[in-house]
Amino acid sequence: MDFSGEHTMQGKQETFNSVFNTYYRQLCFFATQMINSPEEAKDIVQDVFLLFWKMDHGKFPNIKTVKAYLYNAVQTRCLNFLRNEEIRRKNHKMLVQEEWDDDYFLCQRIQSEIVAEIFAAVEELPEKCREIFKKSYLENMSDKEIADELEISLNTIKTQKQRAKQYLRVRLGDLFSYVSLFFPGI
Amino acid sequence: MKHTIDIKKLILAYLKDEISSEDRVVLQRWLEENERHRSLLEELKDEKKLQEKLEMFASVDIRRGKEEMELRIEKYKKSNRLRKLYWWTGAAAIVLLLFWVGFLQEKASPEKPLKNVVAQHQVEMSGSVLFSDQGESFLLDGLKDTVLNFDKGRDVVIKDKGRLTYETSDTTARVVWYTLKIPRGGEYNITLADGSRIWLNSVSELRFPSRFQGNYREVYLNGEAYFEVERDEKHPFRVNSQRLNVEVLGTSFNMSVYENDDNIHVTLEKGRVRVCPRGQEKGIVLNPDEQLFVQGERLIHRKVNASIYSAWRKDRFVFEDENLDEVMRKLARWYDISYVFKNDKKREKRFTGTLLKYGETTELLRLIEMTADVKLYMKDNVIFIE
Repeated sequence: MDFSGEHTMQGKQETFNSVFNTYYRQLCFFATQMINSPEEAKDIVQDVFLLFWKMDHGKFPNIKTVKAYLYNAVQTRCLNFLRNEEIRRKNHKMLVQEEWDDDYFLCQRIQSEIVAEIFAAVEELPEKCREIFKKSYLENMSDKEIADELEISLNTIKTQKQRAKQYLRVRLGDLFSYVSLFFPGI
Repeated sequence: MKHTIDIKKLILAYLKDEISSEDRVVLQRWLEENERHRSLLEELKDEKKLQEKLEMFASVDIRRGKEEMELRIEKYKKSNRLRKLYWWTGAAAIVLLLFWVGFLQEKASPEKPLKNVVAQHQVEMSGSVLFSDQGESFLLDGLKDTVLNFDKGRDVVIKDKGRLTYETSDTTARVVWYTLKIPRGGEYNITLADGSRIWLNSVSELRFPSRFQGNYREVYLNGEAYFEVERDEKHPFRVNSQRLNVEVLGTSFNMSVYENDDNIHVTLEKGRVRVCPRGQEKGIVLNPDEQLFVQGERLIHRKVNASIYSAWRKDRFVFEDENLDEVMRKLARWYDISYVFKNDKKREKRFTGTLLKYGETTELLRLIEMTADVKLYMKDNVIFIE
């Protein structure tokens, strides 16, 4: 991550966009795992990003500290949310099954980052390949539909899907077998 | 944080089956730390569970998130521009105000005004006095937080800080009537024989018996007082004053009935009271946050914020859109000073604000100056209003 362009508005916007693209999903996932509500999780993560936007990014020495900051901020807000929720519902049994210690958050964070990593492998595919891959496996479109929409031949689609599979197999090693469960038909 | 990254890499390498034997030992040690660590790896190895997690991850709509984020940032930018604008206007106003205050001080200096009159007056102030109908008198201390203990061996015991608690030792003894007089600048808190509590404001007089007899619990008031009346349905509590009386069962209310004030009022905080102006048989029933305001012969039954009228108990003057005449009257009563309106039109100027009773007079008069658009200065204990 390069913060040198920070002194211009445009530079700041670029930094923000790149941080947002990298961490938005995994932070939402992280928060959802803890508070069990994707909508609330989204609000929390956006609050944190707004805070981050307001900050002088120059005070972060590197991207690792940005990541640590974002995770910590989301974690704190989730904890507050859960406490308020607990007070509101007066349902202690339901919410305090886990001990909310540092180790718990650490495990949640590890999990989010691993899931993000697996997902990122898909993002690493060459653009055309990725597009076809996502349409096929995430949006459940048939080869024919993709061919019509992208105006390419059915053959090209088959080759691209094949390339995607090969790449993921190499990139993810054994993990690929799990991912293939998520993307049945690979 | 190093810890997180290391473990994450080890787990990833393990899942990809690329882990070195060295790292495997490190990971093994981490897994042995606790059950949670083990189940984290188990869940990641569990195909079904991993699939669920990946689905959840994929369901985060980053495009929508980005759009919402942009809206929020725009909104923030807008409010920030406004805030900056406010800040500049605010700063400009303060600079102007400073100039103006400086100008005022210079102008007023020949008169040697203001200085800390409050402190001076509180030191010189005489205490509250309790008279009995036996011709005895006890000097109480009207100041806050002073302790005065004396026991005449009869039915009055004074204890606690700046307040009178009253105990009846002998129920067969003759009833003695007391009059408690509060001077300018004083206030007092008394508990009567039935447990009712009364806060008396400056320049007020309360007449009460050593114990209550008969069907009514009766007391007499001239001035201002706040009552918390102990509930006793068989013996209604009655406050008599020159122009009206108030009858209650058990409530909290404020009563301002100064003999020399044109305007008198009774304000109810809790419960229910019946107010009977002189010459009226039936009286008027007040509900919480209602007030009977008597202006000469006129009776005004209105809705008010009752807490404002009893704020004097809490070391504060609270004025809500009151005219300057009324404001000065209250201040003079408390600070034991006089005031003169050099320009009668200024009497009608409106003032809203909260002033600390034990604050400095200089501050206080400045505040009024700033908000009510008048000039005040003080000479020989007299405030002149121009």
